[in-house]
Amino acid sequence: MGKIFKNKLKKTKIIAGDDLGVFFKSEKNSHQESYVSRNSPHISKERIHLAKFSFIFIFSLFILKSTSLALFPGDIRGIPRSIVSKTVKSPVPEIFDRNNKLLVTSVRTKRASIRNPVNPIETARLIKAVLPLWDEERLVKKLEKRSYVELADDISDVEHYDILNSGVAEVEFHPVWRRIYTNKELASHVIGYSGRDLVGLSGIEKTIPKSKLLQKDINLSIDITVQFHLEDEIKKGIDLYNADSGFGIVIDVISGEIIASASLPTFDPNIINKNYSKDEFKKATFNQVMQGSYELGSVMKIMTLAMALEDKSINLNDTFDDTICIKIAANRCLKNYNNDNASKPINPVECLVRSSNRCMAQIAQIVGRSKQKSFLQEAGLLDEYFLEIFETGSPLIPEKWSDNSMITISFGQGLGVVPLSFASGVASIVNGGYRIKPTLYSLNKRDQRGHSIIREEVSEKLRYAMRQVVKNGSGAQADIPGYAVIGKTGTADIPCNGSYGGCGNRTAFVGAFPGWEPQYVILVSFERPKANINKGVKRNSSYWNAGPTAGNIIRLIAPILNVEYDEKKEVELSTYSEFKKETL
Amino acid sequence: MFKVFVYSLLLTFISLIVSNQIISHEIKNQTRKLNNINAVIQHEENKENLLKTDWVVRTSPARLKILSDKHRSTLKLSPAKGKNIKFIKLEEIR
Repeated sequence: MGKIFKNKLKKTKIIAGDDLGVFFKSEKNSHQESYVSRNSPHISKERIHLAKFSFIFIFSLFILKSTSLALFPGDIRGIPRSIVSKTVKSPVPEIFDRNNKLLVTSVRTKRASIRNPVNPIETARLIKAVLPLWDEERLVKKLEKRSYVELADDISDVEHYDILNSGVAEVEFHPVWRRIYTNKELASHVIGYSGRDLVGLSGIEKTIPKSKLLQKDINLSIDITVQFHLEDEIKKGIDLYNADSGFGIVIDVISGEIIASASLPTFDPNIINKNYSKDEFKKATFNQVMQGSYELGSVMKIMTLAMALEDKSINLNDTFDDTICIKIAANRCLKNYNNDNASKPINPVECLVRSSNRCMAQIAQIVGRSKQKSFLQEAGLLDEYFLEIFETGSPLIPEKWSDNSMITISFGQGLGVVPLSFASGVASIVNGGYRIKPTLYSLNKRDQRGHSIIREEVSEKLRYAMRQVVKNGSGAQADIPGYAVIGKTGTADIPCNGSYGGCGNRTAFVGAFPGWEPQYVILVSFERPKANINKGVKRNSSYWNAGPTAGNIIRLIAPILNVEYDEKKEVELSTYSEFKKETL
Repeated sequence: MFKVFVYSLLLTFISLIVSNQIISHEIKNQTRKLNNINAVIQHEENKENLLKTDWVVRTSPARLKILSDKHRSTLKLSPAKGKNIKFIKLEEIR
């Protein structure tokens, strides 16, 4: 603030405050000292002027600011924190399906609690009158033991009013958010559930806080109508075949989007924290599609055939003797399912149609175990599969990939695969041979095909062979006119006590539609299904359960998914003429 | 002169205090109004959310299926069939 003014008499520059300097300087300036002593009234006046102008300046600022605030109150910058905290937006986003149908939302409710009641017995009596679910004695004990007791979550306006009028003064109400799962059990394994105060505990709900999705609403790849049909048909199947459980999945073969994923038994995420016993909870929340690892049986033969054709170890005109003995133990020959052996040599397509174990074992022996392992790895079957949710399983790989393992794996035993990764592998086989990465987020059918795992011509041959299975083989009950469904059935023994047999079986059907240019892959499986003679189900093999269930699902969902319907179109081997069709 | 200055300073102080009181009162008033509006918005949004949720629950596929089964005899509803859908190729339109 050094205000400079001039001493007119002596033409010397004097700076205000210089007189104070004399107290701090060891060497006194005799010239300035004499000036100060001579002109002290003049300096005092200068100081007053300085102080006056400073005050006037500061107060002018105050007045200006106050006037502007008084005249333009709307210009108050910043909203008090207390108001911000009361904003109406839910802290967790809403979840929609691929068609913008609401799956999960949050609503504000109230939680009633009580703090330090004066008379616990009287308080419990009054509370019991308005909240009848409370046991009075239990409430008294709680009130006597604790200083803070939560009375009820999600209370309605009527309950709120009743509690206020009950005469209990110590009651408190806290606003809380609650997740509502609008479709109850539908897609519950994918969506997951949340606990108190919107804390996600499984599925997509659990991944939300850890991803960058917290700020915007989420569109899943799930189509809720397709999901309903998938779950409904599997539920009907479980009842009809008296199966222990069942699961199904529908995947887009181009984008990898999971259109529907069902694992039954299932649960209602709205009441999962209240209405399930420990065992029920464990069974219901287990996601078989993504967490399970199963031997799916003969559906694996698709992989064996694809591997051999890609390796050029065989071609479709090669033939295999279905009657020879392939030793898998000291004195045991490998058997075909139901000992159904072909009387004459058969080609690879017939091998698949007849679901011959012996044939597949021979093919695997030609290719070799190292190539088998690397092909399955390439197809994604041996990966610990990564998906956007935490609940993912890993394959059960034999400790030693021996020759015996190679043989059993060729027809679908001895290797546990995660159903989702298997369905993705099949999608990669039928979509022209490109690896896909399954996703739970909507990509609007964007092409997400990755690197090639088999050539286009091998993919076409496989589609042709799979079509023959549905037309002339064990998949006949999944053949829905107009879609030329392609697929393969599988019936695998469930291992127990270290061996196979006597513990029931797991049946599966994996297919794709429309057969001429597959858009979707479907996988359906039942655990321990039984024959139901009264309802026309003669046996417990996949032909009788997984096949027809898959067929029903395709019939219902194909029109919803806008899949082209054409009764005249067929799956043909257009380019590759080396195959003699008449051998079939 | 100095006295005038001191009095004017005092007057300024008093007027500042008064105007600050008026402004702070006005701010409190506006804040209260804002809170009330927020509460109303919150209530309405919650109501809208509940209605939206209620609508989704009522029109969920499972519920529609139950309704369809219940009134099958009169409505004769059945799932869409592929052959009832005509696919028009872009080339055909051109």
